[in-house]
Amino acid sequence: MRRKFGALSVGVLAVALVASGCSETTNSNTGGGDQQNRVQTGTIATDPAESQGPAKAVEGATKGGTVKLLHEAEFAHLDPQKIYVSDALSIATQFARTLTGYKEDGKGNLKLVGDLATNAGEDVNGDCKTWKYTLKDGLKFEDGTPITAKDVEYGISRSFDPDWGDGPLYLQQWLADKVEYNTDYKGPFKSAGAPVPGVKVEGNTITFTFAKPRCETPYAVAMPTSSPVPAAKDTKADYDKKPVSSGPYMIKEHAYDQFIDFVRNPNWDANTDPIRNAYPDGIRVEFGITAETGANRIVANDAADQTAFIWANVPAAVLPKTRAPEFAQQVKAGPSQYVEYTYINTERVKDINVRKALNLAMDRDSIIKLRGGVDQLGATLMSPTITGYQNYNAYDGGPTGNAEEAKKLLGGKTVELTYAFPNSPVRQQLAAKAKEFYAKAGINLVLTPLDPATYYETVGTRGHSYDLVRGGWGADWPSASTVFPALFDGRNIREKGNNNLSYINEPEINAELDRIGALKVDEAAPEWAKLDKMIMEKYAPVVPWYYIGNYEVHGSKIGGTYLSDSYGHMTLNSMFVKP
Amino acid sequence: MTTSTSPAADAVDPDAYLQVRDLRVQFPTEDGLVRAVDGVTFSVRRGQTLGIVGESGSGKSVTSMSILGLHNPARTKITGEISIGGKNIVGMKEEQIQRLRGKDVAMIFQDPLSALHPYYKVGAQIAEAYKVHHPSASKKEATTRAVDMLDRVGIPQPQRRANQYPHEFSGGMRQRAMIAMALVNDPALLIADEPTTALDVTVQAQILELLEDLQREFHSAIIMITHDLGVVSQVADDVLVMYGGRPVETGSVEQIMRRPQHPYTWGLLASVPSLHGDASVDLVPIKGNPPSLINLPTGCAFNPRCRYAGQNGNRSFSEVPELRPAGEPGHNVACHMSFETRQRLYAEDIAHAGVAQ
Amino acid sequence: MLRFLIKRLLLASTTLVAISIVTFLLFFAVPTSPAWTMCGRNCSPERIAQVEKSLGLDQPIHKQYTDFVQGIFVGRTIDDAGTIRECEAPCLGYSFRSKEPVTDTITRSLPITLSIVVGAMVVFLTVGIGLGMLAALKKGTVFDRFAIGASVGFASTQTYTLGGVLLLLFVYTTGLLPNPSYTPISQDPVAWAGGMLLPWITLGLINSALYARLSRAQMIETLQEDFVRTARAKGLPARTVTRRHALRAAITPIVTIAGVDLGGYLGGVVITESVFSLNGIGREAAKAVNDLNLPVVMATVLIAAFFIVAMNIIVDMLYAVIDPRVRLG
Repeated sequence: MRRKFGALSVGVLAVALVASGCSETTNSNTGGGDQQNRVQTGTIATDPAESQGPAKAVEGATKGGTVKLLHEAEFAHLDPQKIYVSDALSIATQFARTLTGYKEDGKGNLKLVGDLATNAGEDVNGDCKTWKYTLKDGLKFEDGTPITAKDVEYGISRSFDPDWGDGPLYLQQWLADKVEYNTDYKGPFKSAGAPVPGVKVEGNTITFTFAKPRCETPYAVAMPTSSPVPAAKDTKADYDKKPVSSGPYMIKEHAYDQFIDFVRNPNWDANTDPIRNAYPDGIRVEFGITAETGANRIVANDAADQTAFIWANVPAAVLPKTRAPEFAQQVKAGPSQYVEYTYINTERVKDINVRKALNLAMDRDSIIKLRGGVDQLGATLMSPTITGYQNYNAYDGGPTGNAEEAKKLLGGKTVELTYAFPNSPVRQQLAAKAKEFYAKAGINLVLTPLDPATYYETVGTRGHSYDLVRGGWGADWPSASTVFPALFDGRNIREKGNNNLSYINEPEINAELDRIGALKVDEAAPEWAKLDKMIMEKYAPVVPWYYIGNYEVHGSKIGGTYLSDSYGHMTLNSMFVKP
Repeated sequence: MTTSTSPAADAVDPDAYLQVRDLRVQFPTEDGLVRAVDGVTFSVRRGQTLGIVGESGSGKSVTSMSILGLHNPARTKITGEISIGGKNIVGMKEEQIQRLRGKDVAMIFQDPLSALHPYYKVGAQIAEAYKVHHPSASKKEATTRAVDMLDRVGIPQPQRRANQYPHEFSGGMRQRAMIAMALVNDPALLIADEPTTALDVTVQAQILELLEDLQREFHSAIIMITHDLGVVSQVADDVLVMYGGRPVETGSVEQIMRRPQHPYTWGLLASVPSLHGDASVDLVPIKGNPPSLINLPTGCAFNPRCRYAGQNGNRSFSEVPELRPAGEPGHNVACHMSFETRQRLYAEDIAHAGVAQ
Repeated sequence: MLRFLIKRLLLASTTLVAISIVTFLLFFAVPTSPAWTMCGRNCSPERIAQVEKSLGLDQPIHKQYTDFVQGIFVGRTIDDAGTIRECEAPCLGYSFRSKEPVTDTITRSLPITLSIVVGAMVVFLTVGIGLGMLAALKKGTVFDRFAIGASVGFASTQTYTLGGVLLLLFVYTTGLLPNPSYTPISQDPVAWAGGMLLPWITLGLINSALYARLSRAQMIETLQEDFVRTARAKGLPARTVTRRHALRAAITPIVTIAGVDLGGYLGGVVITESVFSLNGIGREAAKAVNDLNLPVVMATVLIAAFFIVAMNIIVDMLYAVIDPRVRLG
């Protein structure tokens, strides 16, 4: 589960925060706003042939050239066990292979296949408690040493280090079977020689044993947590700057905050890789270039920028320039895995009718217009990119909301609510707009902008004094299991650091979370959708604002790319330089 | 020396080294036309000293600047004639005037501290003045000449002093150095613009003596510009009193000091402490302020400050008085009052006060 | 001179110490912990405590300060999340974001700022002083009015406005100029100059305007000085008067201001660096403030202060060289 990092969008951090998550790229290059909502078709591959390399060739693609990512800020991490933000996840696909990976065709078909492993995972006993992965033959690190199951185990063991913990925690928490996963085993440095809990390596197989059923293990090991690290070359903290590559590209030079030059890894064998085409000879990342500058440069089409691309939404100022018909093929737009919410603090707003009225009077249309029109209308808790997604609107007041109905619901009384949001010009605009349309329904918002740096610290502390709280959430993989338990399990509410910002604790919801969580992936999907509707209709703890859209551009000489359904940015897997 | 009002150009001494005829200097400004000098005629022979007297804004300094051709031709309108050693410099090209400056005509300024360049050594500044008019002289010759000049103007240890900066000199020493610089090219005409005003009294006298000595030695013509009649009485042969850009009285030093005819001159004399008179007599400053040169009072420019304006009906307020003979040869005055009235008023109101006996 | 230098150096060190203490205290006055920005997504209170410990933030402030000072003179050992690092003197601390001694951050970003500033300075000193002097000599003419009009226009322009317009005009639209970028001069001088052209022009033009007005005013004032009249009265040619007598005196205050400006700019030209996407020391500093990356904040503040203090001393000494009336003491 990932929090939409918008709260921290002060200056330099902004780019790293861009939505990760799945998105439907339905060739909708019409310039935002009218992308179709297609139901996510992601599945886990069952045929081992799908996990075999090489990747299917892209029509018209040629090898060679260097593609150039114009990026605002240095990646938060390059150490696979620390990576968690979408831009780093996207670049990591090219140097940090994982046990499983997402194979996509750019048309909305996404399949989880074996990447290092021969398949997406073998549920040994059919109870989701034991998962076995066998590594392919011919896998090598950049220095030519073979990649073994031991290296995968070593990588996973690093993610237990108590000083780290920046990466996803699923696998660790499942293996240790507790939230505080590193109280006993503390990783290879602090617990040297000790066995990694639940992990067994035999030859070229690695087996995970969990105390509880973990049916989504194939998704969890697609995260770079499972990326192999050669123990002999582990430079610990410095590994973050120059990790050893297991993918098609390796770092030639990394000048922190300035640039990274990736070159081909001669020891990568395309025949082992079902996912990556690796067409360009190199990838150059240049830092310090804002989305606005980057987009402007790409639109300008200077020879040096014809192979450039950005992993950030085109800012409103440059949007009109990208909407010319002849530019359409350089735009990649679609929904992300993120949904923008207003959490209603149910410990303060106990009147269900007020919560319903907030939903009913919600004017989504004006909010989306204010943001430039790259986002999508939506009133569900789940993003359309999640498997099983069903569209509905529990309180349908039309795109602009129904203030009159909301008024009736409130029985004529006026309500005053405090609304907390991270202080930034854009957020202020949106809040002012919300105040405007809620006023029509007799709901008086008291706007309380908070310091962005401490925003989540403040609203994540139980008992704070705000009725409404701005927020957002995105799934880590196309399953609602990375959304609902995090946001609505009332048993996990603690004093500080909460993600359940509605502070809702309903036995009925908690029970459903447990029940669906134990189901197999295919069975769970429709059940999550039902829960989505049930939570909204019965409790209305949230006002879903809109589905956050992605809108990226690339240079005129780049081909073969699309918005990846796995991490939300334009994929490097099939990107090529046009001659 | 002879002076006369315009257009009596024939009154100018044709043998004089400097001959100025009907000089008019005007500056067009945003506020209007400044008539800084409005018709002045005079001449100076070599070996003679002319004192030009007046308050600030009377046109005396502008007159001297015109003689050096220092006004920016783009922003100044100069008419009349300034003949230096027989050459009329009005309308002359800058390059030609430049060759006269410092060589034929040199100037000493009021405040030697600001008039000397603070960043260059005194010797070097003098040598520079020599070298610009003696291009063939070597640097060493120029330096030697500078040291000689410092010696000549009475600066002890001239060799060492030449290597010092102006701020290391005392006020009197600086003015001596300034004089050395002015005389380094043996100029025929020396203009001294309030050369002693910034100095204390004892040093004043020394500098004036030095100037007299040097005049004898070099036989140069000197124009002494001052507001101080005491200085004039000490060094001048002839005097030109200016007011509002026009000459109001001219004559020999004896005529001006002993038998002044113009009420303004009276005023000037009354405001100077007498060395010989009655110490108990109060000094009488001239009331009021000098007039604006853009907007001169109509009629006699001095009328707002003149106790006797209106003695002749309306004339003081409507008619500009011409410079006319005031009895003795060479003595001229621009006043509407008759000779007799002036004599009477001087005897009654002024002379008994005992000024400038 | 020596006495002056010793005195000023002592004063300068005191200033720097004071600034470092104030920065330190200000940093700790911020109600949030840098651990929040450093520990990433999974921030439990326990983890915050861990990160704070590894950053040394659990130590008392005075201990942290003395550690910092000790690092500058003798170096120090830093525990980066279990990895022990030796930070050799002069150790300005260890940046936990970029995993390197802060001195590395500085040596990487300072040349960029240096390139921008020195180049821009050449532009604005030559263009600005040249135009200003010419305007003063031609005071009141069409040229003067035009130069002053233009300089008022440029001086009232902001770097980001002018920079943005120039970028749009010369890079994005016409492609006449290369994209601003940094190439070390040692590697390719042509690419270095090409990439710096736009920042030089932008910063250069805006400051040219200021310097043009300043030098025009100075020159007009100097031209009215008695010593200039003396020089002319000596019969010196107009050019000699202007160059040797007027210019020399008029330039002195400009040298002072240029020196102080240089000191200020070397600490970072944040807006210029941001507009042209150049990661100089100014941007590094802004980023560090944003990240609450104390070691980098301290280092950049101290370096900026150092340049200002150093340039002030140099300017004072230069002044004494130019103007014999000035005695250092």
